[in-house]
Amino acid sequence: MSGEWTRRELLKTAAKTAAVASSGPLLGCGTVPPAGVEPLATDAAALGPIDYARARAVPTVCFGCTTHCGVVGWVQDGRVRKLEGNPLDPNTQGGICGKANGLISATDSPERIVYPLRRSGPRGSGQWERASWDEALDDIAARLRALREAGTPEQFVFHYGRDKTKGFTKRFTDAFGTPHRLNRRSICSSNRRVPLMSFYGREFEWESQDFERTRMILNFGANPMEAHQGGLFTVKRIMDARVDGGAHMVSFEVRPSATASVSDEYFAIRPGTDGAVALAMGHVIVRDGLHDRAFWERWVNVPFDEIEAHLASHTPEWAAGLSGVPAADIERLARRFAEAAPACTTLSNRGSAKHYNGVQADRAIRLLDVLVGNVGRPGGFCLSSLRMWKERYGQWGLPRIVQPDPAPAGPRPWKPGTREFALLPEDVQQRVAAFPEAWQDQYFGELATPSEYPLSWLFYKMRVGQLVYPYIREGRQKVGAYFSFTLGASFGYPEANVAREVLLDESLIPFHVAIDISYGEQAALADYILPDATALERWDAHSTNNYGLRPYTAIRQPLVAPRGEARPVQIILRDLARRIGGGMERHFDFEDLEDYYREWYREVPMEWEELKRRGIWTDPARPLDHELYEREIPAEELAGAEVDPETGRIEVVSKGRRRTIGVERDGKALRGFPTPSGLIQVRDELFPQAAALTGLSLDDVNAQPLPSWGPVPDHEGLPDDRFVLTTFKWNVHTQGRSMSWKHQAEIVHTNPVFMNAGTAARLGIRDGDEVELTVERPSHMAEKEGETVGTFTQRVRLLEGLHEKVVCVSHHMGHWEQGSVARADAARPSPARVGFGSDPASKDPDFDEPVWWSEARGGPGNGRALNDALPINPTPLVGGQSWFDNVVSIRKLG
Amino acid sequence: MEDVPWERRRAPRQIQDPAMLVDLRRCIGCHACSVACKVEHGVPLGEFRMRVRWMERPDDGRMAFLPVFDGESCDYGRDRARFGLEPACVNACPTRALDLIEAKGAPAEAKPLERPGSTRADVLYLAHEPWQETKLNAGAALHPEDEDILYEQGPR
Repeated sequence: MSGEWTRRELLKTAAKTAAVASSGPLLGCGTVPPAGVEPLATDAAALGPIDYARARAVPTVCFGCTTHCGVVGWVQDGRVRKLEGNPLDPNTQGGICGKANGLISATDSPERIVYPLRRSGPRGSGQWERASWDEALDDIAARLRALREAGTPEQFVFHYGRDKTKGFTKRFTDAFGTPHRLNRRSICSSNRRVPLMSFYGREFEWESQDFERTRMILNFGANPMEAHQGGLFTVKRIMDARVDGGAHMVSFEVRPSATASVSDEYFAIRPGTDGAVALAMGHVIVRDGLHDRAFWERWVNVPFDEIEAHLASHTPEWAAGLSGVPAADIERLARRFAEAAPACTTLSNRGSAKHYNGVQADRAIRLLDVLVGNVGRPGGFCLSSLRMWKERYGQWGLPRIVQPDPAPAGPRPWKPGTREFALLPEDVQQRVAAFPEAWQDQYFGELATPSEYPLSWLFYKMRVGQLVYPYIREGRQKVGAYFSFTLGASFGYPEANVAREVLLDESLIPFHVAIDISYGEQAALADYILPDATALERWDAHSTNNYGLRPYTAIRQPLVAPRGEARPVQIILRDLARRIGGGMERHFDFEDLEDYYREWYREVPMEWEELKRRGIWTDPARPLDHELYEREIPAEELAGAEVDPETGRIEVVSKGRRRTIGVERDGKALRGFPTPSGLIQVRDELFPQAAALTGLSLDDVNAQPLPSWGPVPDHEGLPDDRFVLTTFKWNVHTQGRSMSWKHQAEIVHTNPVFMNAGTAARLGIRDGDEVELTVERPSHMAEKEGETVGTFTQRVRLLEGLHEKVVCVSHHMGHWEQGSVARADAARPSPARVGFGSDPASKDPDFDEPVWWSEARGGPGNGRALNDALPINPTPLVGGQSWFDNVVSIRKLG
Repeated sequence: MEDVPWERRRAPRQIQDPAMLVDLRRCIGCHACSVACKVEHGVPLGEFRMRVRWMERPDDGRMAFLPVFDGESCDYGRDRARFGLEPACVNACPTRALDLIEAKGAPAEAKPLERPGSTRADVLYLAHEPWQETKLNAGAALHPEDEDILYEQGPR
C-alpha cells in the first residue's frame, strides 16, 4: 500500500478518537496513535484554527531547554498544535517562554531524523543509507558485547548533552559496567554548584530564593529573564515582587541583558570582579555591625572574629578600583541589603562564576546571605532542593521516586591495585595514589573523574566535558565505542574543532553512534544515527527544586506517537541491553514504558491516571521549606547517634563510616545542613587540600579556604588594545539546538559583535563594520607566549550599555548542519531526509524556499560559528569552563 | 474529581469594546507572546500579527521592550474567544504583562501610542515612555526586516 493510504487511514482513526473525546469531558489522557506511522503533513497554515472543543489537552513537561516547565499540549488530529503553561505547576505558576513551542517545530520538522541511518561513505562524508532497527541494533550490540566479553567494559563511553531521563541512561552504563557516562556540566554550571554544595551540602546544589516575599535582590551576573537554568520559575515571582511589592533589584553585569534592563539599578562591571564587590559589601556589613551575629554563631563553622579579620582589608575602595563600581554605591547597596534582611537575597550565575576566579566569586556572594542571616528565611536565600530521588530524602516525609528493581551495581572504583588503575598514565597513578582513601573510592579514571579536577567529582560526578576529547587524544583513556546522546560538542564546546578532529579519527574513536532528533554537527560524524523520540513523544520522570518552596514532581508523557520509526531512548537502550545480554537484560525487563514509569512513581500518593491527568503532584498542605535546618530530627532517626559535646554535631555510624545527621542546639536535635560539620561551611579546607594534592599553588585564589578574590590571570593590566570576549544566550534560544526551530530562529538568527559605542569610536569602528577578533590562549594553558586559539569575523553592532572593555557575541549561531532553517539555506537538503524528507507528506511551506533572513534573499544570514575560536579553559580544581575570560584583540576589516 | 483548569468548559468570551492593556513594567521581552501567536494561528515566516520590539534606552543604553499589535491581521484571538479562552499572547505571557479588557475599564494612566500605524490604536500602555515611540518605524513596526531598532541584531 502507498503511504498516502496509510495517512488517510490514520486521519480517520484520529478523527474517531477525537469524536469519542468530544462526546464526554475532555480527558487529560487519551489514545496515542500506534508507533511507526508515516509522518503527517506539517503545513500548519492549512490546518485551520485549533478546535478546542475536540482537541485533547495533555499535561507534560517541556524540554525546550533544561528548565523543564509543566506544560499542557493541545492535540488535534494526531498533531500537537500548541503548548501552553500548566497552571498546576507550582514552579512556573502557569507561565511559558518563547522557546517551548519550538518543540512542535522539532517534532514536525520535515528534516528530522526518523529512520536509523548508517553511513555509506567515509566518516563525516555526509553519505547515509537507511538501516532497519534490527540491522542497526544487532550491529551496535555486537560491537558493545565484544568490549564486555574482552573484560574492558570501560572502553564504552556514553556522552550526553541533554539527558534528563533521571537515571535511565545511568542504568544502562551501570549495567554495562562502564563509569563513562559523561555529561556537559562543566560547560554549564559546575562553578556555581560547587560553592553551594561546599556551603550547604550536596543536596542543596541549587538554591530557591523566596522571590515572592523578597524586598531586595542583589544579582551578580545571572540572567533569569532570558537564559534558562530555572529562569522561567523565577520571572513572575521577581516581577511581582518588584511591581507589586516594591522590591529593589540591582544587577551587576557586563552587558545590558534583559535582567539588567528590568532591574532598578544596573552596574556595568568589569568581568571577573563580582567576587571583589561581594567581599567589599561583606566588609561594609560587618564594619557597620549590620550582620546577624546570632545566626552566624548558631549555624556557621567559623568563629565570627575570623571572618571579620578576613574581610577587614576588602574595602569598598579596593573593590571599586578593580570593578569600576563606585565605592559609594557598594556602601549604599550593602547597607540597603542588610537593612532589608531577612527579606533580601543574592542571585548569581554564569556572569560571576564562569571565570578563573568564579568558584570563589560565588562563595563570596553566598557569604552575603550568611552574614545578614537571610538563609532559609521568608523573602531570603532559601534552599528547597528536595528532589525526591534519593533514599535520604525519605527522611523529609516525602515519597521517593526510584527506578524499579533490580538496580545494577555499576562499576567499581579504579583504586590502586585494580586492572583499570594499572592502565592509567604514570603521572596520574602517582597523583591518585596520594589521594585520601575516601577520594579513591570515588575515582573512575580520567574521563569520568579527572584527577587534576577533584572538585568536579567529589560532591557528585559532574565531569569536565571539555577535556574529554583532548584526553582521548592524549591517550588517557582508550575508547572502543562512543555514543553521543543529544550532544552538540562538535558545534558548541570550546575548541569544537578538537571534538571534530577526535571524532573523525577512527584510531581514537573506532565506533561512533549518535542518538538524536535532528541531524547536527555531532551526528554528522557518527557511524550510526539512531532517531530518538522528541519530548512530545516520550516518557520521563521529573522533579527539581521549587521556588514555591514545596517539593513536587511532574511527569513527561507522550502526546503523540514518535514520527516515522523514531523510538524513545529508553526503548533503544532496552533493546540494546537485551541484545548485548550477559545479565544486562535483567535490568530492562519491561515491555511498555508506561508500566515502567507507573512503577517508578509507585510511592507518589496519587492515582496514576490522575497524575497523568494533572501532570503534577505536590502537597499543598505541606508547610513551606523555610528554615529546614531548624526542623527537629524524629527520635527514631536518632537511635545510636552520638553528639560531639564541643560542636553539637550529631553523628551516626553506618556501613563503617561516620556521617553527620544534624546538630544539637538548645538541647534539641536539629537537621542543620547536610555538610560534614552539619553547619554552613564558610570555611572549607577541601579547597587547599585539593590544591595541595593536584599541584596547584596554595597562593592561588582557588586554593583558599575562606571566600576570596584574586584576579583572572590575564586580566591584570589588560592593555588598551586588548578586550574581554564574553558570550550569552538569547531568550528564544537554548544553545545551538534551537536554531533549527523556525519561529525561534526567525526572531534571532545572527550574531554580531556587540561593542561599546565609546570604545568603537576610539578604535575608529562604526556600526556595521566588519571586524576580526583574535582570541588568545589563557597564559596558564598556553605552551608558548602569545599563543592564539582562533579568530572570529563578524559585523559590529554598537551598544551604549556594554562595558567598555567587553565585546560580546552569542554562541548559538553559524551552523553548517542542523537543517536548512539553522543554516538559513534551503539549497542543501539535510542528509537526514533520506527516505523521509522526499515524502510529499512531510510538507511545510516554510521550508520550500530559503528563509527570509538567508543571504540568498538579501538577509543577514545565520550568523557565524564562534566556538572553535574559544579556548578550552577549565577553572582549577572544579573544571567549569571559564567562558568569560577570553582576551582578544580587534582588527577592523575592509 | 478535582477540577483541572484546561478541562473547564467556558462560555464564549464577550468583550464589547476590547482594548489590549500592556503593562510595560512587567514585560521582560521574552517573545512568549509572539511565538504563541504564530503557532496558534499558523502565521508563516516573515509575518507577525503581534511582536515584541527590543530597543535601546537613550539614557543608559539598557533595553526596553514594547509589544506591538497589527491592526489588520490581529483580531485579539477571536477563534479562541469562542471557547472562552483569552488571546494566545495573553495566555502565554509569563509575567501577566498583557490583558485583553473592556476599553472603558482601562486604568486612566494607560495610554495608546500617539503615532498611528505603529501598533493598533486600542492598545493601551502602562508606563510607556515617549522616546519609545520615536524609535518605531511607523507602519513597519510589525515587519520582520524593519531594522531601525535593535531587534534582529543583524547589520543595518
